[in-house]
Amino acid sequence: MKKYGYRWYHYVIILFLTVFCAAMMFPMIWMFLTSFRTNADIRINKTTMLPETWTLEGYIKAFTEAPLGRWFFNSILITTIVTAAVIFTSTLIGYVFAKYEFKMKKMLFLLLLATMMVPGQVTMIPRFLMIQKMGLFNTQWALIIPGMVSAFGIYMAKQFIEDIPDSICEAAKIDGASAFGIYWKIILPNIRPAIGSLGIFTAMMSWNDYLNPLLMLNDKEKMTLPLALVVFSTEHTQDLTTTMAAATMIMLPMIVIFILFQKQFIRGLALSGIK
Amino acid sequence: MKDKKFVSMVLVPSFALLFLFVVFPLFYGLGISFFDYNPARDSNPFLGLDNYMKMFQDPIFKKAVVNTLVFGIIAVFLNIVITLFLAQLISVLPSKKWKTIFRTILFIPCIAPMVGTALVWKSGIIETDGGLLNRLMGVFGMAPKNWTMTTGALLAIIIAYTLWADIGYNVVLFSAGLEGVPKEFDEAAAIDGAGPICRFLKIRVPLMGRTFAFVAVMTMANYFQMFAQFRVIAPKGGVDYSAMVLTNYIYRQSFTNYDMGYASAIAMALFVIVFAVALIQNRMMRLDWSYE
Amino acid sequence: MKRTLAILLALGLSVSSLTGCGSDEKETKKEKDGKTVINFWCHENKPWIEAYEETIKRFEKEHPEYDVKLSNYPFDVYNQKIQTALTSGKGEVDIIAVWGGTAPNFIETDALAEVPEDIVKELESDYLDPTLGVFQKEGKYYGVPMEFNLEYGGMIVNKKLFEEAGLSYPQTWEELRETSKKVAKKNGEVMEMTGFDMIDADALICNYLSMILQQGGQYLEEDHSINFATPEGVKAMEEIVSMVKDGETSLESLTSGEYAFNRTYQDKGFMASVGSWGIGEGTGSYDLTYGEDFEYIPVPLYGDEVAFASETGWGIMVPENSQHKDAAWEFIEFFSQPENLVKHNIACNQLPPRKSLLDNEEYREAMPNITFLLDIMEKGQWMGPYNTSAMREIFNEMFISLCQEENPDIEKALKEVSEKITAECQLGYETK
Repeated sequence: MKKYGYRWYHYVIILFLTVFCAAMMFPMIWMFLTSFRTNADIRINKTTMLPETWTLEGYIKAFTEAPLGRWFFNSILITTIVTAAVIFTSTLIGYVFAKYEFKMKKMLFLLLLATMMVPGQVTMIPRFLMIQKMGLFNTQWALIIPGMVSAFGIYMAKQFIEDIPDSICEAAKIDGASAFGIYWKIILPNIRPAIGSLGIFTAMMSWNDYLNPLLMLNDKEKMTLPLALVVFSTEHTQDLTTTMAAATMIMLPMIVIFILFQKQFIRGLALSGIK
Repeated sequence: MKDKKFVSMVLVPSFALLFLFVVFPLFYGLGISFFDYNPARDSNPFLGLDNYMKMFQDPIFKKAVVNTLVFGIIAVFLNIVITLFLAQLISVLPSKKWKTIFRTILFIPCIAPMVGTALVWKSGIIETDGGLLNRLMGVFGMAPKNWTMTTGALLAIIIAYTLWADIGYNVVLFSAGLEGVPKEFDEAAAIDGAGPICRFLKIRVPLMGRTFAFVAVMTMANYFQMFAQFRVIAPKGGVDYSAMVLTNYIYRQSFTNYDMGYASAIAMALFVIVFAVALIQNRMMRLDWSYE
Repeated sequence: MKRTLAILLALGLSVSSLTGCGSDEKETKKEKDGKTVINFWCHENKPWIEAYEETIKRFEKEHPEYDVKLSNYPFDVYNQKIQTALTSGKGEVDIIAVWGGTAPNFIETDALAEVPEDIVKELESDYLDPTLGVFQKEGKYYGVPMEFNLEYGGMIVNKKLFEEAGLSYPQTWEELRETSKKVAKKNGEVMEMTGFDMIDADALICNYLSMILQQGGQYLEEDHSINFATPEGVKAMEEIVSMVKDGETSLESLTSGEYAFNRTYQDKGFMASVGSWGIGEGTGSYDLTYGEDFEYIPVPLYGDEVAFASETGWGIMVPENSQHKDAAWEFIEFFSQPENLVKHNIACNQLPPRKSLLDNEEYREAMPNITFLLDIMEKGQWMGPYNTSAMREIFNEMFISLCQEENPDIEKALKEVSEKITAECQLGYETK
């Protein structure tokens, strides 16, 4: 494409998209700046976005008044386990659907897709009651176990695995590779972009989940980072400084990870759509 | 390939898990919807279809259904138009660097937790006193407004928020889809004298039919389940319940009114709607999910 | 990628096995050092939490056999947490602090333990009526009040604005309205300066009820149903609607879920009705100085005599599934002793629920700005056997639509809302 070079309309598009993206970033900038303002400043000087004096009050309060370090750790732990589990189950199940013939295959796959259409609110109450009866209530397993299989992940993995020629798998089988061996040695290395994007996608969902930790856990020390978004407001007033400081800290790690992996992620996500 | 043992070893535990946490709760919820249910009570009287009768007469429920549909349809439509447009603009750019930069920036809001960004919108944009929206109104010489008191406008703002928070995904999906369209088609049409807009609509869009269908169905199912922004921006559903949607109504019935039986009945209605819309879309787009 | 994945997996699994995901930590802690652990839940509110911790410290000193563990949750989801705790059979919690407006939802169930007799004696002899309200069910008590809730009676005034305008604080209702009209300014739909503001989620209905009562009217019928459509009720509502229509205040606070006093603290309002807790928000969130930037003074009477309605405020309850009920009640008894309760009330900016604390020296000395409230507290009636959270919501909604109509039929609206509240918000149990 490079041979065409830049034409005038390319500059118009770049200009337009730059303005558009700048507008898109406004809420993020607002959040970032607000996290450095005092509450009195936010409430009184409403016509400006800039801090009157820059303060770290919010960040300090976030760390001293909530077990933020502990929540960071919990979030990382739970996100890591869930993500690893989803990658493993999605690719394995996707592999089975893509490469094996068995009875009721089509029906089972449709059922799988149908589960994606069940709204979270519909299962929220029963799931909570079940978690209690199963004795998982107030343990972090309550967040991990239900999240280990993802219908979306399976769908995505299957689309990719179908692209791997059957002949390679057959050949490996003839060479004596076990079913799991084929998965581990042939399938996995061939679907790296899918794994990357599925991983980031799952990690994002798990990292940002706030309703489940609140419902399923009692001990504050066991909870996760998004709780910090609601914890600094009382029934009467909202502590915007600290809430925005917490929000900034929740988003930063994900933004950094995203920028690091964005090439893989965008490629993987994109391919899931066209294939 | 065939390997019964391996297939069942993989599928049995995974489907068991799905059954346990998705299918079973669905039926559990269906069961609860026939009771006057509060788990903290010793006895919960059986009501039969009473909760459903109540639901069909409940004006707030009706409003919530309408709002959910309006929100879903308008937001998905705008989402697809805007993201197709942006994806097309991005795909025209000759430099990979620019493409990456724009896609990345557009995607950043998708990474952030909605509870957080909705709060930012609420206090930074919608707020009557000093919010961005009212300051823009001031720039154009219009009087500021109390947006939380508007009926249509509040829902429109929530749609705008949702688009802001969510277009990144589809821009990425579509721009990849557009790049997947073979250049020869495009060039052939250009030689035939088709203009750029005509080429876009007549050639590129139909050629990425699968992407399009995938995006439309997933976005729709996803938007009917949106909750966080409603809970933050219009927790009580706004003036006259003009921004009350089913997810929020379910939440309020279960945790403000503690009427879990009724909440479950509404939840079933939501499920039926989501499922029906997905089926209709499937039909309309003749989408074969599993195999081409 | 595969290697990274494997490392992540191994890391995740090893860490998780190390901490055991925290699953049975609590079991072992329960009997630690032979102490009985009492789990106490409250909502997120820093001064309140500190006050609880103070009392707990004193309690544990006197009762070394107990270890009271305080957990707090965001108010936003607090009721949801209580509901789920009552549901679980495990007895996660032994003592729960609960807001009187939502307490009926829990008292209605069978999930709460009855207050033991010796505490009941105290309740019946020394607690003000409104504080007990919703905690009674069929002759039994299911909660012990910790405060007297009063959203009526006082207002925050912005001292600087009054000084700049050369105005003095209004002493009568007429002066209040006059001052309010004089200073209020509007830009389009949005207030630039409010006069007297009582239009927010908490203050509106409390002021309205007191305005009815002060005219000698009543809104509670014999059969406990609600009737606002009396001549007094209509007149009071006309008065409030006119405040909005005259542009003295707006629906802004009510619709955005903010409190009216915020505007006063932001130098955008002269006067705002709020309970005494509002003082703490000014000195806290806004860093203002009492007596210099703002003051808290009585709202002039609307009618001839002091009268108002008060709803049941914060109280403490014990769930039936608690594993240490006796210990829990022992703590509550300690907590409620006048000498302990008064310290708690002072620290939390609360009004005391006990009659014997009304002229308590320690309290009056610590809270000189709100003693005028102590003097009227005994004149309050209980708001009635209603779920006040639900009632507010219906009432406020009616008010919003009333203010938007060109020529509202106030009587009709009041009649409708009375019926609706009676039908939907009346408690599901007898309160005597």
